Amino acid sequence: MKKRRAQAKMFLGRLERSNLSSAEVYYRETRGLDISGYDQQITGIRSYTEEGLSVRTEDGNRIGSSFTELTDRKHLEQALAQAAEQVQYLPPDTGHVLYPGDRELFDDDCSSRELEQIPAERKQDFVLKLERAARALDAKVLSVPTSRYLESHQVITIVNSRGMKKVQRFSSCAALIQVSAGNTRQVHSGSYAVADRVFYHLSPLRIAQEAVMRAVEKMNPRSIDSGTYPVVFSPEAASQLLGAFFLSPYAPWFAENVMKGRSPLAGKIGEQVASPEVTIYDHPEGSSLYARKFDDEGVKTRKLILLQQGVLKEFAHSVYAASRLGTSPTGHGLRASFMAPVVTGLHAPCLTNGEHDLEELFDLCGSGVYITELDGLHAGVDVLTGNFSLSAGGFQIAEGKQKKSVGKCVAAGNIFELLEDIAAKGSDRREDSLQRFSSPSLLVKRLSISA
Amino acid sequence: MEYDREFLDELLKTALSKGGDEAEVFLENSSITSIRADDQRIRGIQQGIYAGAGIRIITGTNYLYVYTSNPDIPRLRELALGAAEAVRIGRRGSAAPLGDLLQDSLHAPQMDPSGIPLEDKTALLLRADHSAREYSPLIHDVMVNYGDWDQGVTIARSDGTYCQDRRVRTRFSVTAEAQQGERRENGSWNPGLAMGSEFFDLIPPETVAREAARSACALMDADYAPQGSMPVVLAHEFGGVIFHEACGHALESTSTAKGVSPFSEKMGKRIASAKVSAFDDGTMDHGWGSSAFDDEGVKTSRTRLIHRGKLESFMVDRIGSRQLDHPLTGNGRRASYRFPPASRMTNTFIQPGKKTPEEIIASVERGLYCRKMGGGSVNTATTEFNFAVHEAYLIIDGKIDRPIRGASLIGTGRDVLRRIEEVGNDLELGAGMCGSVSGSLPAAVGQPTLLVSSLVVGGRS
Repeated sequence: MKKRRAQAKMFLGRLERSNLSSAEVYYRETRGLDISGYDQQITGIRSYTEEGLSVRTEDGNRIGSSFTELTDRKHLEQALAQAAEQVQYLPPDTGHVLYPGDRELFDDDCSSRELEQIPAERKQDFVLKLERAARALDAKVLSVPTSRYLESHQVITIVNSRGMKKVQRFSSCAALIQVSAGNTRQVHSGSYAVADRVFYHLSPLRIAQEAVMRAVEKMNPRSIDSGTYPVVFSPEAASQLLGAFFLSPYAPWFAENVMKGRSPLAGKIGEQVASPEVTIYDHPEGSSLYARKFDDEGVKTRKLILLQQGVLKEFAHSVYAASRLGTSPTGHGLRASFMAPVVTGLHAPCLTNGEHDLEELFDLCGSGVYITELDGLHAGVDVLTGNFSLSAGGFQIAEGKQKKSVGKCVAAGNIFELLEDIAAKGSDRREDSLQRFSSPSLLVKRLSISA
Repeated sequence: MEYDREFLDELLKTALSKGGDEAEVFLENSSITSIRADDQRIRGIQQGIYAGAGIRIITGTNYLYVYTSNPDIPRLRELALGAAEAVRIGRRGSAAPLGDLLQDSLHAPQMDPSGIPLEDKTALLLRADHSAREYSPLIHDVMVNYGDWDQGVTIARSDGTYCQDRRVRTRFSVTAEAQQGERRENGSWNPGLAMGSEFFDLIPPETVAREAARSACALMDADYAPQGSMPVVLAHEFGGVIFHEACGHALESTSTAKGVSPFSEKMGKRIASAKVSAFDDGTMDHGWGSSAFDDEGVKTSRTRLIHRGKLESFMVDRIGSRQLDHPLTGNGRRASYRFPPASRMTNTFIQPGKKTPEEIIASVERGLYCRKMGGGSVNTATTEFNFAVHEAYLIIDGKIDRPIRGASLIGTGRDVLRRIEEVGNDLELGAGMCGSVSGSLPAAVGQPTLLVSSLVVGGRS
């Protein structure tokens, strides 16, 4: 951290010398590794270091913004000048302020030196083992198109001329596999991904087993009739669907969207808007890979309960929304990268676990559809209206048991109606998923399925 | 960030000093401006510089890729040396001296965006906001985004290839939301072209805004989409996403070389209806996905992928060419220096036929007419695809009937290509961002109006 303290001090010095009354430097550096294998060869290695900084300048409730990947003094000064120039083309807005620093913070809790010290050969070997394990598990495995190990080490530094000085480091590693299984008449694919901070927690056999099982159990699908069915969502599918609606910058759970008239939840704090089974909170202080001590505006993060037993409790506030509404930010101003603008977002949201295992959910369902995969989430959801229509894959449920694969179908509905229709939830929420939103299995009373 | 030929020669030699067949240096220096407006105000301006370099060493059909942002001479030397150490196969490669520098200005902007004052750019967004609201009193919310990108790349390879390409692109996007009582619907249009600010002479902000507003208002009386299989007419322009997803990705050598694509063994064989001929054309004038060279220094080209239903070519990058023994097609693309290149589509489209859209619609007794498509995705191993339909209408007795909303279409590439029964005469292309192994890239999709005999429509009624 010594180097990072010195760097933060250097950025502050540059801001002081710029003569700008209020300005911020946001710096991000990432080192990473991405290894791919195929057919028992390492086919690709990507190793990288990337850094860049974004500056924001504030003048009369107007914020200019500029970024550069050239981080020397000259380019930092150019970026500051560019941002300061923009201000004249922006209308004043009481929401546009930089957050004053609450205290200095240099946090190293989420980084892992151990991960970096593991030799690259061991990580390459892991990729080959992963593929080998998948091929050995079942004769129906035809190929393993993806067998991959990823690792990243990141530093975020935020300083501003209003007293902010914060640095946080993070590390993570992940394994991904995609398996094709079948025969001369049919091919099905199954994939699985696991993320952690500890390399030795990644088990090639367990990851391969999940992917192979997912590919093989899709064989010999039997189409179902189009109609409205009770549906059980797997943890991955539920997390994908809820993530699409809770993580979008246009999500109705964000104060900025409420303020701009884009949320049907406006004025409903304290009202029952979902099933009593639904408690959703953002827990940036937890053990998730997405946990953060402060957001991308430097605001200390905290647990935020959005829905408690179906009752709307609170909206997420960035500095912009909080300033406009005269309240405190909740630590939910995020950037997709240093090049991206600050928008409202959630760090590590989850829908809390229930008490049922999957078999019990099938039993409660009786007959319906078990959805394990969703595709097309980038296009098939309308966050503004809550409507969705998505390619889905899964299994028939009959007499309370999982039956044949139903092949590809389309699941269509509305997220607000779906949240009201959640009848029960599983106890199987994953802690090791790459997905930012984390949900257990969910039993939903009804959903339109087209096949 | 300029480097002389001798230094690039030195980097290539260093990269191959411990082994490898080929080495390549990719340098990027790009700038962007993006502006967003909503609620009749400019909300934010973002300007910035991307600068980085990547070095790739190819051995057989495998690669090592290292990259760094903020490249200076010591850092690049260190990068090349680090890459060589990581390869270390003992068989020293050789680097030919770089040839003459090839520079191209296939799409040089007539009005360079860097010379347009910010004030003029912000005015474009406010004009669009005003036009969308003027279109109908139902429009209560408008979001507008402006973006210009100026990407400069230099590619130096150990086979002597040495080229520079400048790609200037402009995109303008409007989303309008209509509201009546509790009912809300939105419409959007996001055109983009490889050109400078002359883009707005061709496609004024008002045109984009009115189209977004029209689409939002058209859906105010829409019912939910029907469920089940039915004939589907796909309108021209962004309807081409069906070919992009259903077939295009599975024709990229990244998929075909591993043998996972169902089209891997189909060269010269029939994979589509005889009415289908399809192209990928990276040379298209101002095409959203066009460039003079691809990101491996290969001149872009017009490649006929399917001719009267028969598979004629894959889209092939350098590694794919080694794997498949297939000629290069200028499709080695990457979103930035952060990615090694992979075979990717540029501007991909189905060739027009002879029938008018009206004749095609009149031939359908009951079905669905998809006027505006959203994005989609595909599993290249199975060719199972999906895409969202933003604005659609029922067809009853050969005539367009009431609007419907909230539909997705699913199917497999293998089936849908054979089910194309009619191909219209009204080819147009639309701009999209395509996400795949080498990042999110500008790619145009296109088609004339098409009739597919049967597709699964996922709706709610």
